[in-house]
Amino acid sequence: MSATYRAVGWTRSKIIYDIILVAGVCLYLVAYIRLAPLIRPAEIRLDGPSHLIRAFGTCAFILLSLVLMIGPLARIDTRFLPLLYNRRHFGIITCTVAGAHILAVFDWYLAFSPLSPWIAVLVVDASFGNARGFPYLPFGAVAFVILLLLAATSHDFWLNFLSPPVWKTLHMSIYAAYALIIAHVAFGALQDARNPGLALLICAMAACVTALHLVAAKLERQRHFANIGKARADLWVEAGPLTQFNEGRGRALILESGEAVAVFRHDNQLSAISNLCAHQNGPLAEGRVHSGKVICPWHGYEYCLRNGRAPAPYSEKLATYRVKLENGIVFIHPSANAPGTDVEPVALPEGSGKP
Amino acid sequence: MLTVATFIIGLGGAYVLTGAVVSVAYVVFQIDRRDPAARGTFAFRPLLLPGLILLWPLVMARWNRDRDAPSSISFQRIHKPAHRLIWMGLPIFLVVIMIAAWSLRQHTIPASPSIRIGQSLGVAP
Repeated sequence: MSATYRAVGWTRSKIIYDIILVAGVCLYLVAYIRLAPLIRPAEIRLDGPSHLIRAFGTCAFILLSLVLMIGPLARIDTRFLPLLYNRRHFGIITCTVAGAHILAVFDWYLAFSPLSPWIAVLVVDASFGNARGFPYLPFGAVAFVILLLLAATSHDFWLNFLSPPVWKTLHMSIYAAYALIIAHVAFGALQDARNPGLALLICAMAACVTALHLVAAKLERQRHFANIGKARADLWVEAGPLTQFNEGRGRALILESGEAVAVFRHDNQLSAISNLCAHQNGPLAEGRVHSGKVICPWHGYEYCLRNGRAPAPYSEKLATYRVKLENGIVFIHPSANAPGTDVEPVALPEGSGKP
Repeated sequence: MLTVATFIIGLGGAYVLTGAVVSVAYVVFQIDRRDPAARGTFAFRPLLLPGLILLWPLVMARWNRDRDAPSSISFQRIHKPAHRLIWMGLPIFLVVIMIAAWSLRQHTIPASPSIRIGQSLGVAP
């Protein structure tokens, strides 16, 4: 997607983000290992390795819940967008902590088995015929395979290799992993939990994740219907009065076909390109405009507004649309031009002013 | 069960080994031909190995073929309803899991033998 690949695209803000994240994980693990034995009632006190297993497990669950909250939070309030920029590092750290949880289980529960731990983990918990004591390890194992696959395909190379739709479909399996982890805990640790701490943590996190997704879905639906353009007999679609277009900003418009178009007012001109960033379909209408280019609010990809092309040496191209202004109303032609097609911006008449 | 488990792990091991060979061959010989953005850059290549190992059948299928690039418009049409479906389905699914797990919970798990002996002797904490 980019000019050339780099191992990690470090920036100052990403380094700070990662330092805070790793410090938070270390702090949680140390606090859990130190405090859990003191808080836990004596009759259900666990040994040190079991505390370590639970520390890694709960940490991975909290991290995964937070990863899933970032998307809807950024949709609800743009102030959360900085959290989105480095979400892939968040995911990789989550996978690493989940891997540490598995290694800790192998090292304690399966270390003295005459079998390989990989084989032992499949046979030690195989009472699939019983509802009570139903095996919970397979839920966790499948969830970890999904997390591993997502972490392993997080580099931009994979977006290009798999294509954005396949990549996005693959990465939507994060929701399946989350449900599997809830099942892993619910059918495992919660079955013999005798204090409400773990149950409260699981329910609170799951409730936050689902509530945020539902609120974001409702908001997106409202925005979608508010942005549907009215088509005229000559096909041109009304995008709204010019006064609703702020200088240096974009407005999203949904066509009858379902395509999302971003219409921009910049330097007293109007241009329209696809609203979907070629990287991960970020909403370009919400991006900043600078020197005739829009900057995607999600990951900073740039596109020239008159031809939908990313500046050299980048090669991304978006569909462009024809725009016209009649009696102070902005219209878009719904037939998309081929990605990268140059379209002369519509110059606004003198005196239209900057709202 | 032991035979089945041994077979599954053996199969998994063979898959990973084959993937290791295919992935190393891909990042050394093929990646420059298939992806212009990879030309002349090497530091990122080791990061690709886990994914290439996991997805090696796909790598083999694409060894000599460029992928078909679908438009971003069809992408949006597919994923918006899919996302909405997941957001609606996830809460229901999570509640079902929690209710099922709660109903199967064994509420009367006895304390460990050492605790019970201690309690009977009046020395348990």
